[in-house]
Amino acid sequence: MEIKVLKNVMIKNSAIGNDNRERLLKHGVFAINITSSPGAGKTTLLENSLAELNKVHPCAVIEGDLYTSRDAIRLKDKCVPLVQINTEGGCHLDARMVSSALDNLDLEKIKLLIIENVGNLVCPSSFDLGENLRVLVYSITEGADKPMKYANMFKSAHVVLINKVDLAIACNVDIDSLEAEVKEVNQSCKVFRIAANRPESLIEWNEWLLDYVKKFRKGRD
Amino acid sequence: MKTGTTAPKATSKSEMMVHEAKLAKYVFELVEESIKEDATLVGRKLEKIIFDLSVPYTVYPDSFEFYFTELVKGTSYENVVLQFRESSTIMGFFINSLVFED
Repeated sequence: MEIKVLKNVMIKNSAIGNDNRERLLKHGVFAINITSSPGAGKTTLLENSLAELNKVHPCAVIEGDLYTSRDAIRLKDKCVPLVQINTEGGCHLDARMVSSALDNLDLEKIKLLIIENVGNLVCPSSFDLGENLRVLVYSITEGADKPMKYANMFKSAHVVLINKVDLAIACNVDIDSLEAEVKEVNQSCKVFRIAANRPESLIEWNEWLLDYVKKFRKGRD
Repeated sequence: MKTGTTAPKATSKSEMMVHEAKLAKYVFELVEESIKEDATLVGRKLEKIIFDLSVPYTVYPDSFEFYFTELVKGTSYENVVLQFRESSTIMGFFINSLVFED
């Protein structure tokens, strides 16, 4: 006897992701989910942009990491609420983990929640955490050929930050070709070129994000 | 700084858990829920689960099968056959149907 089920397996995660989004929305919190390969520059990006973002919209950070608090320690002098999630080997954050982390934040006091996912260019693409914006940090040291190879990650991103552009010549990467391939995979994504260790290169991205959050809040109010 | 937020335990510290392990848990839960929703299925022996899977894969059947088999050891689903059907018309990983012993 065959019984039709026709259920998307990801519904288990998506339902909690939607709950997270609703919960954040209720408090007027905009959430971004930052993904990348390990070492692409997510934490450096936060080190050099968090202070600017926090001046305009009070921030909080959820740090995803396999086992350590190393990234959280790098951000502790930024004076924003921070919750560490250790996945104990899990290759990505999921909506349940984020839901637990939200219990440890005073959502009334924050306006911008930044979730730094576990470094991985495959699995995080499938897991909605309840974010409003998914940001992929892609380092040119990974080469120019990855957008097609890791298409799901690029397809699921609203914004792609091409990082370490100052190393383009040393890495023999043509940034224009790389950006064209990103656009080929995901035509609608917004692309910025940054060198996350140089705060001056983050101005355009910071301003765009702050404006995006402002519009979100305006739409809500 | 707050640290040590309780997160669901994924696996032992010595191994990396790929997302197929988590999907195996989701499938287990969905199968349980589907059976509970239909009183005529309770107590019937589940023989096969048929999945539809988009191409290119976001789930690797061999990896999924490994984790699912581990997960259901010692349960009534221990010998359930997993059938994967590739589909270019869907996006994602779906439980299409459950096949029970007549």
